[in-house]
Amino acid sequence: MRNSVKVAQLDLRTLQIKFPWWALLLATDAVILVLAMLNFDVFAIIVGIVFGAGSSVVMVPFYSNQQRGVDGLLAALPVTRRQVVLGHYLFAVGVQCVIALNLFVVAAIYSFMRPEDLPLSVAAMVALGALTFFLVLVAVPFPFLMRVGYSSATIGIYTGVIVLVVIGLNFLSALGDNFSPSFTFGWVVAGAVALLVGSVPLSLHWYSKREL
Amino acid sequence: MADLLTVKDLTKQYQEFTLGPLSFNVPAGYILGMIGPNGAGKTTTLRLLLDMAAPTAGTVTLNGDTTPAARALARAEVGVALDTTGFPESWRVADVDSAMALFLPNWDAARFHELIDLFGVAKKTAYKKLSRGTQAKVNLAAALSHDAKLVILDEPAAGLDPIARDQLMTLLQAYIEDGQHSVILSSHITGDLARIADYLLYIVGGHQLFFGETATLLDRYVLVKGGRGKLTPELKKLGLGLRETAVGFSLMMRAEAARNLPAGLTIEPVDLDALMIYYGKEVQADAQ
Amino acid sequence: MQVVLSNQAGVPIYQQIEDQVKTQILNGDCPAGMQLPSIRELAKDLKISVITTTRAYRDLEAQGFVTNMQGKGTFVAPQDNELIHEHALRAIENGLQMAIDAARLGGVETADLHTMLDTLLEGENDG
Repeated sequence: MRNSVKVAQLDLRTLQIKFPWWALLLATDAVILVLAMLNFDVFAIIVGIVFGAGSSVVMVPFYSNQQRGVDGLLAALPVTRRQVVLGHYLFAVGVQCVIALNLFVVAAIYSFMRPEDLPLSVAAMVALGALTFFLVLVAVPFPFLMRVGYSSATIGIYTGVIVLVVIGLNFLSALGDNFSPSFTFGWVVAGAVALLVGSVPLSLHWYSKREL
Repeated sequence: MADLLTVKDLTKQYQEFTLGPLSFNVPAGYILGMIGPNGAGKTTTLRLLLDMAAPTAGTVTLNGDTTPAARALARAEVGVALDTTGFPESWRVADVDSAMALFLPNWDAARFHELIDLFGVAKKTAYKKLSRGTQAKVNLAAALSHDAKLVILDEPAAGLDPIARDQLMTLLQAYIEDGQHSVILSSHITGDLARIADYLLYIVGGHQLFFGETATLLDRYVLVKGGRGKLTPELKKLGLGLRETAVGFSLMMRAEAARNLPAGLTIEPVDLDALMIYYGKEVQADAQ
Repeated sequence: MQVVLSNQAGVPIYQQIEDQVKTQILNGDCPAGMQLPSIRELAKDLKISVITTTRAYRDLEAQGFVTNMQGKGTFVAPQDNELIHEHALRAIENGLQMAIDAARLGGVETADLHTMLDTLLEGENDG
């Protein structure tokens, strides 16, 4: 659906602040790698930044117009509600894949430079873990975003999901002693994808009923 | 020429408010003005036309399309500027230009920039930093730059100074000049509408009080004025909306009713402002 | 063709247009065959609604002053003298009726009214 791609593109354009987002991304990568080269142990910080960025970036289209988001604008354009929802998902998942991939590349380079700090397998798992986290962060709040837009309720759900995921991850890493980590991890990833796919029909339904 | 828009018995039921049934149509090449007090349902009507909300009953035929899905894709032919169709805060004029070009096949960037320059909009300033009036001008310029057959504007003149308002009215008249394009605009600037609107849709408290040619509505009523002593109970009964002061009274009534009045009264045609004010008094009096 | 509208006149806009166009046709400023501005162009220039100019042109056509040729425009019709005469008669009747009403209201006698008419006519002949 070409229109959904256009909606995703529109969402992307709401991210323009002073510099294009990709330039910011590359700049951050460069800084991190320089710090790594200078032997600073920054990996935890990297992960923190990435998780933060991946989470918040996805919300931008929904509050970019005085907390009203792009709904009003899209309502006046020749796109259907269905195309809008799919476009938003495309944008969110797309951007987050890019961020996760970027994390993986940075982590891989970091791993190459300091393999004792960060084995490659761990780097890969962290990147995949980030992606999974992001997918859940889209899957759960999106239907509510579609239903009521950007409001304190959706922020609440958003925060709730983050807290739950953090707790869940801790729980899983404790469990991980009993099962093979990749096995558990595999199920977690599959679960996240299923959650995401399952959230789409709900989003479509709620958005089609929404009054803009 | 076929109608660009036909609305029949359009109704929207909310918990505390019912809009409609509304029935009106917009032929190609004309201007429809929507008038009514704040909260009467004008914006809701426009939102229903754009499928931003679903009606409880009734039909909307826009450019020949009768279903929301068909209308969605036909919105390439509709220019819109509502309060809620503003642009993201960080965007500048160039961002608006490229976004609209992405979605609208008939987007005319040259025309857009012409209008932006005409309105004197600062091109490098982010949308949120612009004044409300200037934001409205950007919305307007976008709505008028893709050769849309039907342009729908909600209070476009609200934030505009008299010069800009004059520019707007001139633009709209030029827009419909070829007889193929129409404009629907809701406005409180009744002076402008009384002159250039071909048709009027008058909504009060969700009810459609009038739809038809502007001249018909204005010819329907007259204003009867006189000294206090002349205000008889019979006179009061004939009228709608009374204004009494220490030095006299004025009463609006139907033109036919004013034909056989006693001498000594001043009878004048009513202007749109007066009509809405007197009608408002009548509605208030009823409510009490 | 020139049209100047007045908001103060108390006369409906379509009527002002009609009156002014008629006057110009009758006194020859707008000769037969001359093309008038289109309905929409006129509306735009005068900043009034299209329906108003349409009505004015339609009335003018009904009274025989102009002809509207679909697709081509509106043109001043050849004026037939009988029509002009009739128009003058009607205008005179209206004017006289107004004078009579004013006289009645002001308590002016019929004889005085006749005298006033003669005096005015004499004044015109002298001037």
